Amino acid sequence: MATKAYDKSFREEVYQNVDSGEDVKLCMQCGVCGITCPLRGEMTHGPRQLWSLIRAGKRDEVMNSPDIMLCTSCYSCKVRCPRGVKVIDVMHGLAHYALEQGIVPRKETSKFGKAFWDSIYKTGRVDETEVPMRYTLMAGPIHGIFNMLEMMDIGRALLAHKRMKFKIGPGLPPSKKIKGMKGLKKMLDKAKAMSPGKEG
Amino acid sequence: MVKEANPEAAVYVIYKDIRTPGQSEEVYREAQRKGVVFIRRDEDYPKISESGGKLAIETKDMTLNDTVEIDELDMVVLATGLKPNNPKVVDAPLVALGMDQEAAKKLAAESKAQCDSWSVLNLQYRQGPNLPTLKYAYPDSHFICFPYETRRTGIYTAGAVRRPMRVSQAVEDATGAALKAIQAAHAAAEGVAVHPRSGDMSFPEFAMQRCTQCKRCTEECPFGAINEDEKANPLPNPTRCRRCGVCMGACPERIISFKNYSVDMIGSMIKSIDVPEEDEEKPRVIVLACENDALPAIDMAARKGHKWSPYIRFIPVRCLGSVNLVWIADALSSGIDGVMLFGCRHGEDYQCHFIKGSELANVRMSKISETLDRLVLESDRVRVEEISFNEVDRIPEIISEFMETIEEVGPNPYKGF
Repeated sequence: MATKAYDKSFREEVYQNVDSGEDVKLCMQCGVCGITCPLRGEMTHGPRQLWSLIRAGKRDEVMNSPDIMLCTSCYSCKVRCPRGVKVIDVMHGLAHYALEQGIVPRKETSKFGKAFWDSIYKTGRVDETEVPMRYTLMAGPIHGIFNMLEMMDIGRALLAHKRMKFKIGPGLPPSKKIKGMKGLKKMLDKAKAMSPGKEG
Repeated sequence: MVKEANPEAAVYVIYKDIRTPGQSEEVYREAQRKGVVFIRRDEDYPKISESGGKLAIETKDMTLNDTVEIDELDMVVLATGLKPNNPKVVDAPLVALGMDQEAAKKLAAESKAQCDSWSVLNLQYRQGPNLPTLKYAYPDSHFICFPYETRRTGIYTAGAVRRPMRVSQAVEDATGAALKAIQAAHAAAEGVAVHPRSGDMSFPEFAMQRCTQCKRCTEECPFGAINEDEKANPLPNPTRCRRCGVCMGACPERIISFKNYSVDMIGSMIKSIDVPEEDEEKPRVIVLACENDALPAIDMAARKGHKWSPYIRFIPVRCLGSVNLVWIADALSSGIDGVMLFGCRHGEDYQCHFIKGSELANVRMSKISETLDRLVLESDRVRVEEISFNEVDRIPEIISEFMETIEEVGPNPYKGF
């Protein structure tokens, strides 16, 4: 009935390899990070439980938890943590650590990141029509059309408020490129070469 | 600590509650910085097992919400709690309140026997060799105002005897207790009382020729200040006495008196109160108010501008425990329509400055309701109310409620006799 737990190897790994991982030692499990997080409803564990799992040596749960890719860096948790745990740094740190090992705990975030990146890489800007279009079509054209039909109300409102331009499809018409695109491309190529993983 | 000797060691603390009094939150943080892992369990104790020379612990882990096993442990250290080894001694008057007489007597005797079978103090008190205990089996006295006090004058408790505490707190505590002890020594040398009646030079005098050896004073004295000889005659010890007057209130023969406070004094006061004739339709009610909480509360209420019935007369007493039942008889036979007793709260969260006084008054009044019924006097005419100093604003309400009751029961039939 009891599960074996608290092997120290995983937590030692996290302390050493994850950005600000040592902060996790100090967590007193008060739960303020979780209640404060605006994304907590979407998360499976929440930051508090993740720290508990790390200390308990539950590698699989932590590495595969979609939570680590849901952090929006709003800083609500970090300012409130009574023990000064740099929650955001650890959350992103865990995400990087997972991606380095080829684990992608949340595919949607990864896909959105790719759409975001592609837009910047090609045009130097985040086109607000282009990126959502690319994202919704990533799962295939049929899915994409259904997705878009679902979001029709939002789309109409965005068009009415001129937040979105009307396009037939991605790149039709193409977004304007920025000036100095060559320089930007050089920077982005260098960044890509420096770190593994493509997610934004 | 283990971690300082060997930083690689895995150290776990399994706890149900963490308390960090004073600055010891820093100890908690430092332990965590060094990598000690804290695991929260629920009420059930963890199970410890042994296998191949190593130990394993199985415990409920509340943060994971699962039962976990930690194995390959070299050592398990058990934390023990503090518990007083003085079992609760149940006083006879308290026992008489509501509990079945036989069961209560048995319980009292058992507790006392258990307690008296060993004693660190070995006091030569008629009431027993130990300090009487109250809530949680600690030997407290009026803990709010007099924390080091016990119910034995001159004995002051400090440190973990009084409540669980750490060594640094115990040192501070001992200083406080020593200061109180110095006060007590001075008071004894001058022949005066210690608190609450600090400096009181009076002491109870016994008219022994009328004593019937009923033992009420020796049993009911909250401080055990009255010993007994072989014939059960009371032997008062003035240096232990707090001058509360509980003995005076207890004595059915009224042989006890103080030079400045006696049954006769208050009785005469009551008998000389002017009671309007029945046809004037003005009731007369007296309030016996204890000087510790009740009287100051009434004073405060008056200063705040509260108003109440003009038909009331207030008589201060030292403690409700000093109220002798003959005063009730005197009042009712003078035609007074109602008697209220205002005193400090009793029970588990007691405030009574003499600890037992208010409680005893309650018990005694509950016993006379039978007598009153026999005299064709409504038992509603006598009421005991608990007044706390922070309930000043309730006083007008309490009084008007009682006046309503008195109106309902009608004028005292003994008026004009």
